[in-house]
Amino acid sequence: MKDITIGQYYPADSILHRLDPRVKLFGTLIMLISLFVSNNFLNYILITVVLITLIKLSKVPFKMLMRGLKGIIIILLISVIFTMFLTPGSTLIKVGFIKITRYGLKKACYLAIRLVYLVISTSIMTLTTTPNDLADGLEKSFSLLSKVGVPVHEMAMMMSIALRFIPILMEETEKITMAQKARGARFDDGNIIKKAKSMVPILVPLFMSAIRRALDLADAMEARCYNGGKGRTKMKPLKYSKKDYSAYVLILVYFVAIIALSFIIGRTEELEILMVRR
Amino acid sequence: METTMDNEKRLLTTREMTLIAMFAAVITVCSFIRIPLGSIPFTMQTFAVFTVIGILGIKRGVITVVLYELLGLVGLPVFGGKGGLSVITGPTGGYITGFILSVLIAGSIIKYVNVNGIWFKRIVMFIALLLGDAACFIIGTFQFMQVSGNTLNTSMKFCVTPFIIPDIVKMILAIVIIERIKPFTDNIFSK
Repeated sequence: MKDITIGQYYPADSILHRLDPRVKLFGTLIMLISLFVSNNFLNYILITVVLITLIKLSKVPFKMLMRGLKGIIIILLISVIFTMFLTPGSTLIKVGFIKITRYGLKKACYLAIRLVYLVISTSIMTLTTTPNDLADGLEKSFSLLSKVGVPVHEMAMMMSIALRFIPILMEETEKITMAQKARGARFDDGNIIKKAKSMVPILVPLFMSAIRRALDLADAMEARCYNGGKGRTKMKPLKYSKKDYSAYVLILVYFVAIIALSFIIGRTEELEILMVRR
Repeated sequence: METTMDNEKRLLTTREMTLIAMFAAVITVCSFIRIPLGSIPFTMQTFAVFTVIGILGIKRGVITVVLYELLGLVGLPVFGGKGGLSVITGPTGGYITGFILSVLIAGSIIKYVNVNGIWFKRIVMFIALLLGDAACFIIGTFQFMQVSGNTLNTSMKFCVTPFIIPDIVKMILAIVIIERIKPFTDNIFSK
């Protein structure tokens, strides 16, 4: 717990790193939508080309992108296997009661590709943007919501506060745990009930500590004349540049292409599937 | 000189803001506290969400959970060591998003069902957390099915069944903690 790296940012000097975080947020959103509307081979080719280009532009090592896939491997295997075996259609391979259909195989491949690309595309965003920049980007992106009563500035402020208190509370938990162990507490023995009971001496001090810190911080902020978002200035404001506008155009062109391919070619594949089932 | 404080009602007070931020950080810390039970790893993440429901209530609780998810979205490893948008949009992200519904349902029941007697209050709180947790499982399982392409049976087998008993234990633990801490926080919010 002590050596946890806060954030996934990979520092480098690249086009993607210098892009405004709002552009990257929008681009990632478009990528996610395109992954879920895509339903045919050409769509996935286009997405593959775009992702490879983005990876090269970002200068992030491929190994780091693969790290994000580790947590998803088991789910990936389960999904692919079940899909392959349970999908009806014309039989491709048959061994005993196990049957793999042509459509099942295709569906499993699409599924695997979609899951992998989902992780890669979202990882590119978090690897090329610092958490603070992303928080700024989110605040700007959602600023319109503040007109309908959503506490946008407050959310951004609370993100910053939580950001810097997570390591502090981690350390606090560590200290509390060691202090209780020094007094004879055992956390690894017993059944689930005993383990739950042994958590109380850690959790109550942790919560009380968090509450006291929050109260102290609130007093300190107000003593420094903080009274909400209105009228505040920003130390590092976000500004669009020419390359940001270019990126927006490219994103929209890509999205139009994806939609067109989905409707034109996807229709053909649907007919093919219907004929197979009949 | 005109001050904004005089003529503008704030959505959240400074004290509320710092408490919400701190509780989001607490959920993060709890998601790292791991209890080894057989082959499936359990963390105190859901426990922390349950406790937030009881201590902060509906409005502040929802904001806390949304804040927690935003922290994960920007790349912090707050989901038990993982983070990034890929977790929220991935197969298991629905269980995290489902926390919001948990807070809404459980918080509403706790707020609007008024009973006398300490044990009746405990029972109401337990039922509230139970229903909230069920809602979370529904959303989580739905997203798991959508993203991973699995059937309902498979999803239930892997994502719901093993977690039922541990979650009940966490509810009981949360009720214990809430009872110890809530008098202090009630005092804070009433100032």
